[in-house]
Amino acid sequence: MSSSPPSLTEEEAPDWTLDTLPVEILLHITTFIPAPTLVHSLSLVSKHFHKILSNEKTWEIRARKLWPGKFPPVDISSSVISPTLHRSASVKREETVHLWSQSNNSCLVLTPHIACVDSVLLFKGNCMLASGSRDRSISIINIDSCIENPSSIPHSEVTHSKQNSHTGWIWDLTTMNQQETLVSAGWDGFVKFWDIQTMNEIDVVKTSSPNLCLSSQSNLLAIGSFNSRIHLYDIRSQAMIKTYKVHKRSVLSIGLETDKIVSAGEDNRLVLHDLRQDKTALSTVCLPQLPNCPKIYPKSISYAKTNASNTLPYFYVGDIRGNLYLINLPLFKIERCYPLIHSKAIQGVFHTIGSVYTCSSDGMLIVHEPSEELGIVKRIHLDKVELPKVHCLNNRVALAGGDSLIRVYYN
Amino acid sequence: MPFVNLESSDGDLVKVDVDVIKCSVTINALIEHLGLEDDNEVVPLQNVGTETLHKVLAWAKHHKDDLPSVDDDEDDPPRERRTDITTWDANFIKMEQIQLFDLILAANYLDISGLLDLGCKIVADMIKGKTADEIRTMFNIVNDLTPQEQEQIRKENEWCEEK
Repeated sequence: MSSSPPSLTEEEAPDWTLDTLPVEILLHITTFIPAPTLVHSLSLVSKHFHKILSNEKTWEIRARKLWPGKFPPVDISSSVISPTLHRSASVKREETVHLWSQSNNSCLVLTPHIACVDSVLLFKGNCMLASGSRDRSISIINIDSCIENPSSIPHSEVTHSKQNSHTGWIWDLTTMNQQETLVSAGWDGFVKFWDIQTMNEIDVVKTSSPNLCLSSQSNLLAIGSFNSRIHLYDIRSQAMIKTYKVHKRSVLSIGLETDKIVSAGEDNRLVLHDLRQDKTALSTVCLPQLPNCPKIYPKSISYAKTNASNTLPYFYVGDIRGNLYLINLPLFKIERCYPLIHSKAIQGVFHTIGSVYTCSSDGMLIVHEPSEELGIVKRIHLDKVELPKVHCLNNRVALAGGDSLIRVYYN
Repeated sequence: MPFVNLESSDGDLVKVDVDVIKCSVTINALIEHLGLEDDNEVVPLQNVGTETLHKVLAWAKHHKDDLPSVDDDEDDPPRERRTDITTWDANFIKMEQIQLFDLILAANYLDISGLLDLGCKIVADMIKGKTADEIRTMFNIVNDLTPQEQEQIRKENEWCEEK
Protein backbone atom coordinates (compact mmCIF):
# COMPACT_ATOMS: atom_id res chain seq x y z
CA MET A 1 0.00 0.00 0.00
CA SER A 2 2.86 2.36 0.73
CA SER A 3 4.47 2.01 -2.68
CA SER A 4 4.24 5.18 -4.72
CA PRO A 5 2.23 5.15 -7.93
CA PRO A 6 4.03 6.30 -11.06
CA SER A 7 3.49 10.03 -10.93
CA LEU A 8 2.53 12.03 -14.00
CA THR A 9 4.73 14.94 -14.89
CA GLU A 10 3.30 18.32 -15.81
CA GLU A 11 3.67 17.52 -19.51
CA GLU A 12 1.93 14.17 -19.26
CA ALA A 13 -1.07 15.33 -17.30
CA PRO A 14 -3.93 15.96 -19.71
CA ASP A 15 -5.71 19.29 -19.47
CA TRP A 16 -9.37 18.36 -19.29
CA THR A 17 -11.79 20.43 -21.29
CA LEU A 18 -15.52 20.20 -21.80
CA ASP A 19 -15.13 18.15 -24.96
CA THR A 20 -12.61 15.69 -23.49
CA LEU A 21 -14.50 14.97 -20.27
CA PRO A 22 -15.54 11.35 -19.83
CA VAL A 23 -19.02 10.79 -21.22
CA GLU A 24 -20.50 9.78 -17.86
CA ILE A 25 -19.53 13.17 -16.42
CA LEU A 26 -20.86 15.01 -19.44
CA LEU A 27 -24.12 13.07 -18.98
CA HIS A 28 -24.27 14.19 -15.37
CA ILE A 29 -23.73 17.80 -16.44
CA THR A 30 -26.61 17.49 -18.92
CA THR A 31 -29.01 16.69 -16.07
CA PHE A 32 -28.54 20.29 -14.86
CA ILE A 33 -29.15 21.83 -18.28
CA PRO A 34 -32.68 22.28 -19.67
CA ALA A 35 -33.39 19.87 -22.54
CA PRO A 36 -34.16 22.67 -25.06
CA THR A 37 -30.65 24.13 -24.53
CA LEU A 38 -29.12 20.70 -25.10
CA VAL A 39 -31.09 20.22 -28.32
CA HIS A 40 -30.83 23.70 -29.77
CA SER A 41 -27.38 24.82 -28.58
CA LEU A 42 -25.07 22.13 -27.24
CA SER A 43 -25.82 19.64 -30.02
CA LEU A 44 -24.65 22.28 -32.54
CA VAL A 45 -21.32 22.96 -30.82
CA SER A 46 -19.31 20.13 -32.43
CA LYS A 47 -19.57 16.63 -33.86
CA HIS A 48 -18.68 15.19 -30.46
CA PHE A 49 -21.64 16.81 -28.71
CA HIS A 50 -23.99 16.11 -31.58
CA LYS A 51 -23.07 12.44 -31.50
CA ILE A 52 -23.76 12.20 -27.78
CA LEU A 53 -26.97 14.22 -27.88
CA SER A 54 -28.44 12.47 -30.90
CA ASN A 55 -28.07 9.15 -29.14
CA GLU A 56 -31.42 8.10 -27.69
CA LYS A 57 -29.62 6.19 -24.91
CA THR A 58 -28.19 9.49 -23.60
CA TRP A 59 -31.70 10.83 -23.23
CA GLU A 60 -33.04 7.68 -21.69
CA ILE A 61 -30.32 7.68 -19.01
CA ARG A 62 -30.83 11.39 -18.38
CA ALA A 63 -34.62 10.94 -18.14
CA ARG A 64 -34.27 8.10 -15.63
CA LYS A 65 -32.07 10.26 -13.41
CA LEU A 66 -34.48 13.19 -13.53
CA TRP A 67 -37.83 11.39 -13.63
CA PRO A 68 -37.84 8.00 -11.95
CA GLY A 69 -41.50 7.24 -12.83
CA LYS A 70 -42.41 4.78 -15.59
CA PHE A 71 -42.40 6.42 -19.00
CA PRO A 72 -43.90 5.63 -21.41
CA PRO A 73 -46.71 4.58 -19.07
CA VAL A 74 -47.49 1.44 -21.07
CA ASP A 75 -45.07 -1.18 -22.35
CA ILE A 76 -44.15 -0.48 -25.93
CA SER A 77 -42.49 -3.01 -28.19
CA SER A 78 -39.14 -1.67 -29.32
CA SER A 79 -40.21 -1.91 -32.97
CA VAL A 80 -42.74 0.88 -32.58
CA ILE A 81 -40.71 3.16 -30.31
CA SER A 82 -40.00 6.44 -32.03
CA PRO A 83 -36.24 6.96 -32.42
CA THR A 84 -36.61 10.27 -30.60
CA LEU A 85 -39.10 9.22 -27.92
CA HIS A 86 -37.02 10.07 -24.85
CA ARG A 87 -35.47 13.15 -26.43
CA SER A 88 -38.80 14.68 -27.43
CA ALA A 89 -40.45 13.58 -24.18
CA SER A 90 -37.66 15.27 -22.18
CA VAL A 91 -38.01 18.54 -24.08
CA LYS A 92 -41.80 18.60 -23.83
CA ARG A 93 -41.88 17.53 -20.22
CA GLU A 94 -39.38 20.13 -19.12
CA GLU A 95 -41.26 22.79 -21.06
CA THR A 96 -44.42 21.78 -19.18
CA VAL A 97 -42.76 21.90 -15.76
CA HIS A 98 -41.16 25.23 -16.65
CA LEU A 99 -44.50 26.70 -17.76
CA TRP A 100 -46.19 25.71 -14.52
CA SER A 101 -43.35 26.47 -12.11
CA GLN A 102 -44.06 29.37 -9.84
CA SER A 103 -44.23 32.74 -11.53
CA ASN A 104 -43.11 31.42 -14.90
CA ASN A 105 -46.43 31.74 -16.66
CA SER A 106 -48.82 34.48 -17.56
CA CYS A 107 -52.54 34.14 -18.12
CA LEU A 108 -54.36 35.92 -20.90
CA VAL A 109 -58.10 36.22 -20.24
CA LEU A 110 -60.19 36.52 -23.40
CA THR A 111 -63.83 37.53 -23.58
CA PRO A 112 -65.11 36.91 -27.10
CA HIS A 113 -68.27 35.16 -25.86
CA ILE A 114 -71.22 35.90 -23.59
CA ALA A 115 -72.05 32.30 -22.65
CA CYS A 116 -70.31 29.07 -21.67
CA VAL A 117 -67.44 28.20 -24.01
CA ASP A 118 -67.56 24.49 -24.88
CA SER A 119 -64.70 24.30 -27.35
CA VAL A 120 -61.21 25.77 -27.67
CA LEU A 121 -58.61 24.91 -30.27
CA LEU A 122 -55.09 26.27 -30.72
CA PHE A 123 -53.66 26.03 -34.21
CA LYS A 124 -51.00 27.45 -36.57
CA GLY A 125 -48.13 26.63 -34.23
CA ASN A 126 -50.05 28.06 -31.31
CA CYS A 127 -50.52 31.64 -32.40
CA MET A 128 -54.21 31.24 -33.30
CA LEU A 129 -57.14 30.22 -31.12
CA ALA A 130 -60.62 29.21 -32.25
CA SER A 131 -63.50 28.95 -29.79
CA GLY A 132 -67.15 27.92 -29.95
CA SER A 133 -69.80 28.81 -27.41
CA ARG A 134 -73.36 28.31 -26.27
CA ASP A 135 -73.98 31.90 -27.46
CA ARG A 136 -73.85 30.30 -30.96
CA SER A 137 -70.83 32.31 -32.01
CA ILE A 138 -67.39 31.22 -33.15
CA SER A 139 -64.36 33.41 -32.67
CA ILE A 140 -60.83 33.30 -34.01
CA ILE A 141 -58.21 35.19 -32.06
CA ASN A 142 -54.59 35.95 -32.86
CA ILE A 143 -52.97 35.05 -29.54
CA ASP A 144 -49.54 36.38 -30.49
CA SER A 145 -51.02 39.83 -31.16
CA CYS A 146 -52.93 39.76 -27.88
CA ILE A 147 -49.77 38.91 -25.96
CA GLU A 148 -47.69 41.54 -27.75
CA ASN A 149 -50.30 44.22 -27.29
CA PRO A 150 -52.73 43.47 -24.44
CA SER A 151 -54.52 46.78 -24.91
CA SER A 152 -55.73 45.54 -28.33
CA ILE A 153 -58.09 43.10 -26.63
CA PRO A 154 -60.97 42.88 -27.44
CA HIS A 155 -60.66 45.01 -30.56
CA SER A 156 -61.54 43.60 -33.91
CA GLU A 157 -58.00 43.47 -35.29
CA VAL A 158 -57.14 40.54 -33.05
CA THR A 159 -60.58 38.95 -32.83
CA HIS A 160 -62.66 37.62 -35.65
CA SER A 161 -66.10 36.62 -34.41
CA LYS A 162 -68.92 35.01 -36.30
CA GLN A 163 -72.22 35.56 -34.53
CA ASN A 164 -75.08 33.10 -35.07
CA SER A 165 -72.79 30.68 -36.84
CA HIS A 166 -75.18 27.95 -35.73
CA THR A 167 -78.71 28.05 -34.36
CA GLY A 168 -77.73 25.81 -31.46
CA TRP A 169 -74.84 25.46 -29.04
CA ILE A 170 -71.46 24.85 -30.63
CA TRP A 171 -70.02 21.70 -29.15
CA ASP A 172 -66.75 21.08 -30.94
CA LEU A 173 -64.25 22.50 -33.43
CA THR A 174 -61.45 21.12 -35.58
CA THR A 175 -59.30 22.34 -38.47
CA MET A 176 -58.80 20.78 -41.92
CA ASN A 177 -57.21 21.64 -45.24
CA GLN A 178 -53.77 22.53 -43.78
CA GLN A 179 -55.49 24.54 -41.06
CA GLU A 180 -57.13 26.86 -43.59
CA THR A 181 -60.61 25.51 -42.84
CA LEU A 182 -62.31 25.54 -39.46
CA VAL A 183 -65.04 22.97 -38.87
CA SER A 184 -67.76 23.39 -36.25
CA ALA A 185 -70.32 20.94 -34.85
CA GLY A 186 -73.62 22.35 -33.62
CA TRP A 187 -76.61 21.19 -31.63
CA ASP A 188 -78.64 22.42 -34.64
CA GLY A 189 -77.62 19.28 -36.56
CA PHE A 190 -75.22 21.07 -38.86
CA VAL A 191 -71.53 20.67 -39.38
CA LYS A 192 -70.15 23.84 -40.96
CA PHE A 193 -66.89 24.56 -42.76
CA TRP A 194 -65.40 28.06 -42.50
CA ASP A 195 -62.62 29.81 -44.34
CA ILE A 196 -60.28 30.77 -41.51
CA GLN A 197 -59.14 34.00 -43.15
CA THR A 198 -62.59 35.43 -43.87
CA MET A 199 -64.87 33.29 -41.68
CA ASN A 200 -67.08 32.82 -44.72
CA GLU A 201 -69.09 29.61 -44.71
CA ILE A 202 -67.67 27.39 -47.47
CA ASP A 203 -69.59 24.16 -46.93
CA VAL A 204 -72.31 22.79 -44.70
CA VAL A 205 -73.48 19.28 -43.89
CA LYS A 206 -76.74 18.37 -42.22
CA THR A 207 -76.86 15.25 -40.13
CA SER A 208 -79.90 13.55 -38.68
CA SER A 209 -79.41 14.80 -35.14
CA PRO A 210 -77.40 17.26 -33.01
CA ASN A 211 -73.62 16.89 -33.38
CA LEU A 212 -71.46 16.70 -30.28
CA CYS A 213 -67.89 15.95 -31.27
CA LEU A 214 -65.45 16.10 -34.17
CA SER A 215 -62.07 14.75 -35.14
CA SER A 216 -60.21 15.15 -38.43
CA GLN A 217 -57.22 13.76 -40.21
CA SER A 218 -56.10 14.87 -43.68
CA ASN A 219 -59.29 14.76 -45.79
CA LEU A 220 -61.47 12.80 -43.41
CA LEU A 221 -63.77 14.17 -40.76
CA ALA A 222 -65.40 12.00 -38.08
CA ILE A 223 -68.58 13.36 -36.49
CA GLY A 224 -70.15 11.96 -33.32
CA SER A 225 -73.85 12.56 -32.89
CA PHE A 226 -76.48 12.76 -30.19
CA ASN A 227 -78.46 9.95 -31.82
CA SER A 228 -75.51 7.57 -31.33
CA ARG A 229 -74.32 7.64 -34.94
CA ILE A 230 -70.84 8.26 -36.25
CA HIS A 231 -70.50 9.92 -39.66
CA LEU A 232 -67.43 10.02 -41.86
CA TYR A 233 -67.18 12.91 -44.27
CA ASP A 234 -64.62 13.38 -47.06
CA ILE A 235 -63.88 17.04 -47.79
CA ARG A 236 -62.38 16.31 -51.23
CA SER A 237 -65.56 14.75 -52.57
CA GLN A 238 -67.70 16.78 -50.16
CA ALA A 239 -69.63 13.61 -49.43
CA MET A 240 -70.64 11.61 -46.41
CA ILE A 241 -68.83 8.35 -47.11
CA LYS A 242 -70.06 6.31 -44.19
CA THR A 243 -72.50 6.41 -41.29
CA TYR A 244 -72.43 3.71 -38.66
CA LYS A 245 -73.86 2.99 -35.26
CA VAL A 246 -71.78 1.29 -32.57
CA HIS A 247 -73.26 3.02 -29.55
CA LYS A 248 -76.69 2.80 -28.00
CA ARG A 249 -76.67 6.38 -26.75
CA SER A 250 -74.96 9.71 -27.61
CA VAL A 251 -71.41 9.79 -28.88
CA LEU A 252 -69.67 12.20 -26.49
CA SER A 253 -66.08 12.22 -27.66
CA ILE A 254 -64.32 10.99 -30.77
CA GLY A 255 -60.79 10.63 -32.14
CA LEU A 256 -59.70 9.81 -35.69
CA GLU A 257 -56.16 8.84 -36.60
CA THR A 258 -54.99 7.21 -39.83
CA ASP A 259 -57.34 4.24 -40.11
CA LYS A 260 -58.68 4.15 -36.60
CA ILE A 261 -61.60 5.82 -34.88
CA VAL A 262 -62.07 5.69 -31.14
CA SER A 263 -65.42 6.87 -29.81
CA ALA A 264 -66.81 7.22 -26.32
CA GLY A 265 -70.54 6.92 -25.70
CA GLU A 266 -73.06 7.63 -22.99
CA ASP A 267 -73.79 3.89 -23.17
CA ASN A 268 -70.47 3.43 -21.29
CA ARG A 269 -68.80 1.94 -24.33
CA LEU A 270 -65.42 2.89 -25.65
CA VAL A 271 -65.17 1.58 -29.18
CA LEU A 272 -62.21 1.17 -31.51
CA HIS A 273 -63.17 0.87 -35.15
CA ASP A 274 -60.65 0.07 -37.87
CA LEU A 275 -61.73 1.84 -41.05
CA ARG A 276 -59.96 -0.69 -43.27
CA GLN A 277 -62.01 -3.52 -41.83
CA ASP A 278 -65.72 -4.11 -42.01
CA LYS A 279 -68.05 -3.24 -39.21
CA THR A 280 -67.38 -6.43 -37.31
CA ALA A 281 -63.77 -5.42 -36.68
CA LEU A 282 -64.49 -3.63 -33.45
CA SER A 283 -62.93 -3.64 -30.02
CA THR A 284 -64.97 -2.46 -27.09
CA VAL A 285 -64.10 -1.51 -23.53
CA CYS A 286 -66.64 -0.71 -20.83
CA LEU A 287 -65.65 1.34 -17.80
CA PRO A 288 -66.10 -0.60 -14.55
CA GLN A 289 -69.27 0.19 -12.59
CA LEU A 290 -69.37 0.42 -8.81
CA PRO A 291 -72.21 -1.27 -6.92
CA ASN A 292 -74.91 1.07 -5.57
CA CYS A 293 -73.29 4.06 -7.28
CA PRO A 294 -74.61 6.26 -10.05
CA LYS A 295 -73.83 5.04 -13.53
CA ILE A 296 -70.37 5.69 -14.91
CA TYR A 297 -69.69 6.49 -18.54
CA PRO A 298 -66.83 8.15 -20.45
CA LYS A 299 -67.11 11.88 -21.03
CA SER A 300 -63.86 12.79 -22.77
CA ILE A 301 -60.98 11.04 -24.53
CA SER A 302 -57.54 12.29 -25.47
CA TYR A 303 -57.11 9.97 -28.45
CA ALA A 304 -55.86 11.57 -31.68
CA LYS A 305 -55.87 15.09 -30.30
CA THR A 306 -52.09 15.49 -30.50
CA ASN A 307 -49.89 16.10 -33.49
CA ALA A 308 -49.47 12.89 -35.50
CA SER A 309 -45.68 12.97 -35.18
CA ASN A 310 -46.07 12.29 -31.49
CA THR A 311 -48.46 9.38 -31.91
CA LEU A 312 -48.28 7.28 -28.80
CA PRO A 313 -49.82 3.86 -28.24
CA TYR A 314 -51.94 5.02 -25.34
CA PHE A 315 -54.50 7.64 -24.45
CA TYR A 316 -56.63 8.75 -21.54
CA VAL A 317 -60.35 8.68 -20.83
CA GLY A 318 -62.13 10.88 -18.29
CA ASP A 319 -65.50 9.77 -16.92
CA ILE A 320 -68.62 11.43 -15.63
CA ARG A 321 -67.64 10.89 -11.95
CA GLY A 322 -64.09 12.28 -12.07
CA ASN A 323 -62.12 9.06 -12.67
CA LEU A 324 -59.37 8.96 -15.26
CA TYR A 325 -58.27 5.84 -17.18
CA LEU A 326 -55.10 5.01 -19.10
CA ILE A 327 -55.93 2.97 -22.20
CA ASN A 328 -53.39 0.72 -23.90
CA LEU A 329 -54.20 1.29 -27.56
CA PRO A 330 -52.70 -1.85 -29.22
CA LEU A 331 -54.38 -4.10 -26.66
CA PHE A 332 -57.37 -1.78 -26.35
CA LYS A 333 -57.75 -2.34 -22.64
CA ILE A 334 -57.72 -0.28 -19.47
CA GLU A 335 -54.12 -0.25 -18.25
CA ARG A 336 -54.75 1.72 -15.11
CA CYS A 337 -57.51 3.65 -13.36
CA TYR A 338 -56.81 6.86 -11.44
CA PRO A 339 -59.84 7.13 -9.15
CA LEU A 340 -61.52 10.43 -8.41
CA ILE A 341 -58.79 12.79 -9.51
CA HIS A 342 -61.65 15.27 -9.91
CA SER A 343 -64.81 15.50 -7.79
CA LYS A 344 -67.08 15.94 -10.83
CA ALA A 345 -67.12 14.96 -14.52
CA ILE A 346 -63.83 15.16 -16.40
CA GLN A 347 -65.04 17.28 -19.32
CA GLY A 348 -61.73 17.56 -21.09
CA VAL A 349 -58.58 15.48 -21.23
CA PHE A 350 -55.60 16.18 -23.42
CA HIS A 351 -52.18 14.58 -23.53
CA THR A 352 -48.92 15.39 -25.23
CA ILE A 353 -45.69 13.43 -25.04
CA GLY A 354 -44.72 15.60 -22.07
CA SER A 355 -47.95 16.29 -20.19
CA VAL A 356 -51.51 15.24 -19.41
CA TYR A 357 -54.17 17.90 -18.82
CA THR A 358 -57.58 17.29 -17.27
CA CYS A 359 -60.35 19.82 -16.66
CA SER A 360 -63.62 19.28 -14.92
CA SER A 361 -67.01 20.60 -13.85
CA ASP A 362 -65.43 20.86 -10.39
CA GLY A 363 -63.57 23.98 -11.56
CA MET A 364 -60.13 22.38 -11.56
CA LEU A 365 -57.51 22.26 -14.25
CA ILE A 366 -54.88 19.67 -13.35
CA VAL A 367 -51.53 19.40 -15.09
CA HIS A 368 -50.04 15.91 -14.75
CA GLU A 369 -46.68 14.37 -15.49
CA PRO A 370 -46.82 11.88 -18.36
CA SER A 371 -45.37 8.96 -16.38
CA GLU A 372 -47.57 6.07 -15.26
CA GLU A 373 -47.75 7.55 -11.76
CA LEU A 374 -49.34 10.67 -13.27
CA GLY A 375 -47.73 12.97 -10.68
CA ILE A 376 -49.29 16.39 -10.35
CA VAL A 377 -47.37 19.32 -11.77
CA LYS A 378 -50.01 21.96 -11.03
CA ARG A 379 -53.60 22.37 -9.88
CA ILE A 380 -55.55 25.46 -10.80
CA HIS A 381 -58.88 25.99 -9.10
CA LEU A 382 -61.42 28.41 -10.51
CA ASP A 383 -64.21 28.76 -8.01
CA LYS A 384 -67.67 27.78 -9.29
CA VAL A 385 -66.55 27.67 -12.92
CA GLU A 386 -67.22 24.65 -15.10
CA LEU A 387 -64.29 23.85 -17.35
CA PRO A 388 -65.54 22.12 -20.52
CA LYS A 389 -62.34 21.79 -22.51
CA VAL A 390 -58.57 22.19 -22.47
CA HIS A 391 -56.17 22.25 -25.40
CA CYS A 392 -52.39 22.53 -25.43
CA LEU A 393 -50.07 23.22 -28.35
CA ASN A 394 -46.36 23.96 -28.13
CA ASN A 395 -46.63 24.64 -24.43
CA ARG A 396 -49.43 27.17 -24.68
CA VAL A 397 -52.62 26.07 -22.93
CA ALA A 398 -56.16 27.21 -23.75
CA LEU A 399 -58.90 26.58 -21.20
CA ALA A 400 -62.60 26.96 -22.02
CA GLY A 401 -64.72 28.36 -19.20
CA GLY A 402 -68.35 27.99 -18.22
CA ASP A 403 -68.10 31.65 -17.12
CA SER A 404 -67.80 32.59 -20.84
CA LEU A 405 -64.08 33.34 -20.44
CA ILE A 406 -61.17 31.70 -22.23
CA ARG A 407 -57.91 31.54 -20.31
CA VAL A 408 -54.64 31.11 -22.19
CA TYR A 409 -51.55 30.19 -20.18
CA TYR A 410 -48.18 30.95 -21.73
CA ASN A 411 -44.61 31.95 -20.95
CA MET B 1 -9.32 10.59 16.11
CA PRO B 2 -8.45 8.25 13.22
CA PHE B 3 -6.52 9.59 10.27
CA VAL B 4 -5.74 8.33 6.83
CA ASN B 5 -2.70 9.20 4.69
CA LEU B 6 -3.54 10.13 1.11
CA GLU B 7 -0.89 10.39 -1.55
CA SER B 8 -1.58 12.68 -4.48
CA SER B 9 -0.52 11.88 -8.01
CA ASP B 10 2.27 14.43 -7.52
CA GLY B 11 3.66 12.20 -4.77
CA ASP B 12 2.71 14.46 -1.86
CA LEU B 13 1.39 12.90 1.35
CA VAL B 14 -1.59 14.47 3.08
CA LYS B 15 -2.83 13.31 6.48
CA VAL B 16 -6.62 13.53 6.62
CA ASP B 17 -9.16 13.13 9.38
CA VAL B 18 -11.32 10.11 8.44
CA ASP B 19 -14.36 12.06 9.57
CA VAL B 20 -13.64 14.68 6.91
CA ILE B 21 -13.11 12.30 4.01
CA LYS B 22 -16.04 10.00 4.87
CA CYS B 23 -18.01 11.80 2.15
CA SER B 24 -15.88 9.91 -0.38
CA VAL B 25 -17.48 6.57 -1.11
CA THR B 26 -14.20 5.39 -2.67
CA ILE B 27 -12.03 6.17 0.40
CA ASN B 28 -14.68 4.82 2.76
CA ALA B 29 -14.71 1.53 0.89
CA LEU B 30 -10.91 1.35 0.99
CA ILE B 31 -10.85 1.98 4.74
CA GLU B 32 -13.56 -0.60 5.28
CA HIS B 33 -12.10 -3.31 3.10
CA LEU B 34 -8.44 -2.79 3.78
CA GLY B 35 -8.77 -1.98 7.49
CA LEU B 36 -6.23 0.85 7.48
CA GLU B 37 -5.29 0.62 11.11
CA ASP B 38 -1.62 1.24 10.68
CA ASP B 39 -0.96 4.98 10.69
CA ASN B 40 1.79 4.45 8.16
CA GLU B 41 -0.56 3.03 5.52
CA VAL B 42 -0.86 5.27 2.49
CA VAL B 43 -3.75 5.42 0.02
CA PRO B 44 -2.41 6.39 -3.39
CA LEU B 45 -4.72 8.60 -5.45
CA GLN B 46 -3.35 8.24 -8.93
CA ASN B 47 -5.86 10.57 -10.51
CA VAL B 48 -5.81 13.47 -8.04
CA GLY B 49 -3.07 16.12 -8.00
CA THR B 50 -1.97 17.85 -4.78
CA GLU B 51 -3.67 21.16 -5.56
CA THR B 52 -6.94 19.44 -6.42
CA LEU B 53 -6.71 17.19 -3.37
CA HIS B 54 -6.40 20.22 -1.10
CA LYS B 55 -9.44 21.73 -2.79
CA VAL B 56 -11.40 18.51 -2.29
CA LEU B 57 -10.41 18.41 1.37
CA ALA B 58 -11.37 22.06 1.91
CA TRP B 59 -14.81 21.31 0.52
CA ALA B 60 -15.12 18.08 2.51
CA LYS B 61 -14.11 19.84 5.74
CA HIS B 62 -16.74 22.54 5.28
CA HIS B 63 -19.43 19.98 4.53
CA LYS B 64 -18.46 17.27 7.02
CA ASP B 65 -21.45 17.92 9.26
CA ASP B 66 -23.98 18.12 6.41
CA LEU B 67 -26.96 15.86 6.77
CA PRO B 68 -27.37 13.32 4.01
CA SER B 69 -29.49 14.81 1.26
CA VAL B 70 -33.12 13.79 1.45
CA ASP B 71 -35.27 13.42 -1.60
CA ASP B 72 -38.11 15.88 -1.94
CA ASP B 73 -41.34 14.89 -0.35
CA GLU B 74 -43.24 12.84 -2.89
CA ASP B 75 -46.35 14.90 -2.32
CA ASP B 76 -44.58 18.00 -3.53
CA PRO B 77 -45.32 18.89 -7.11
CA PRO B 78 -42.41 18.20 -9.43
CA ARG B 79 -40.17 21.20 -9.71
CA GLU B 80 -37.55 22.14 -12.16
CA ARG B 81 -34.19 20.57 -11.40
CA ARG B 82 -32.66 22.35 -8.43
CA THR B 83 -29.52 24.21 -9.35
CA ASP B 84 -29.24 26.51 -6.35
CA ILE B 85 -25.76 26.87 -4.85
CA THR B 86 -24.90 28.18 -1.37
CA THR B 87 -22.77 31.31 -1.02
CA TRP B 88 -19.90 29.35 0.52
CA ASP B 89 -19.94 26.85 -2.36
CA ALA B 90 -20.17 29.65 -4.92
CA ASN B 91 -17.06 31.33 -3.48
CA PHE B 92 -15.28 28.01 -3.14
CA ILE B 93 -15.86 27.03 -6.76
CA LYS B 94 -14.50 30.29 -8.23
CA MET B 95 -11.54 28.92 -10.17
CA GLU B 96 -10.10 28.48 -13.63
CA GLN B 97 -11.79 26.01 -15.96
CA ILE B 98 -8.82 23.62 -15.87
CA GLN B 99 -8.97 23.46 -12.08
CA LEU B 100 -12.75 23.10 -12.20
CA PHE B 101 -12.57 20.10 -14.53
CA ASP B 102 -9.79 18.56 -12.40
CA LEU B 103 -12.01 19.00 -9.35
CA ILE B 104 -15.00 17.40 -11.11
CA LEU B 105 -12.88 14.44 -12.19
CA ALA B 106 -11.51 14.08 -8.66
CA ALA B 107 -15.03 14.20 -7.20
CA ASN B 108 -16.07 11.54 -9.68
CA TYR B 109 -13.06 9.34 -8.91
CA LEU B 110 -13.47 9.73 -5.15
CA ASP B 111 -17.25 9.37 -5.53
CA ILE B 112 -18.24 12.51 -3.62
CA SER B 113 -21.71 13.20 -5.00
CA GLY B 114 -22.16 16.63 -3.38
CA LEU B 115 -18.95 17.97 -4.87
CA LEU B 116 -19.57 16.31 -8.24
CA ASP B 117 -23.02 17.93 -8.36
CA LEU B 118 -21.57 21.32 -7.43
CA GLY B 119 -18.93 21.17 -10.19
CA CYS B 120 -21.42 19.93 -12.77
CA LYS B 121 -23.96 22.62 -11.81
CA ILE B 122 -21.29 25.29 -12.34
CA VAL B 123 -20.44 23.93 -15.80
CA ALA B 124 -24.18 23.66 -16.57
CA ASP B 125 -24.64 27.32 -15.53
CA MET B 126 -21.89 28.27 -17.99
CA ILE B 127 -23.85 26.53 -20.78
CA LYS B 128 -27.45 27.47 -19.92
CA GLY B 129 -29.10 30.03 -22.15
CA LYS B 130 -26.11 30.25 -24.49
CA THR B 131 -25.94 29.75 -28.25
CA ALA B 132 -23.64 27.14 -29.79
CA ASP B 133 -21.21 29.95 -30.74
CA GLU B 134 -21.09 31.28 -27.20
CA ILE B 135 -20.51 27.80 -25.78
CA ARG B 136 -17.60 27.23 -28.20
CA THR B 137 -16.01 30.53 -27.16
CA MET B 138 -16.57 29.85 -23.46
CA PHE B 139 -14.88 26.44 -23.56
CA ASN B 140 -12.49 27.04 -26.46
CA ILE B 141 -14.00 24.30 -28.60
CA VAL B 142 -13.25 24.02 -32.31
CA ASN B 143 -16.32 23.85 -34.54
CA ASP B 144 -15.81 20.80 -36.75
CA LEU B 145 -19.36 20.89 -38.17
CA THR B 146 -19.79 22.24 -41.68
CA PRO B 147 -22.59 24.79 -42.25
CA GLN B 148 -24.46 22.02 -44.12
CA GLU B 149 -24.16 19.68 -41.15
CA GLN B 150 -25.39 22.41 -38.80
CA GLU B 151 -28.36 23.01 -41.07
CA GLN B 152 -29.06 19.28 -41.06
CA ILE B 153 -29.02 19.17 -37.24
CA ARG B 154 -31.41 22.12 -37.09
CA LYS B 155 -33.75 20.26 -39.43
CA GLU B 156 -33.51 17.12 -37.29
CA ASN B 157 -34.69 19.21 -34.36
CA GLU B 158 -37.77 20.54 -36.08
CA TRP B 159 -39.93 17.95 -34.33
CA CYS B 160 -39.77 20.22 -31.27
CA GLU B 161 -42.43 22.48 -32.73
CA GLU B 162 -45.87 21.16 -33.61
CA LYS B 163 -47.58 22.65 -36.60
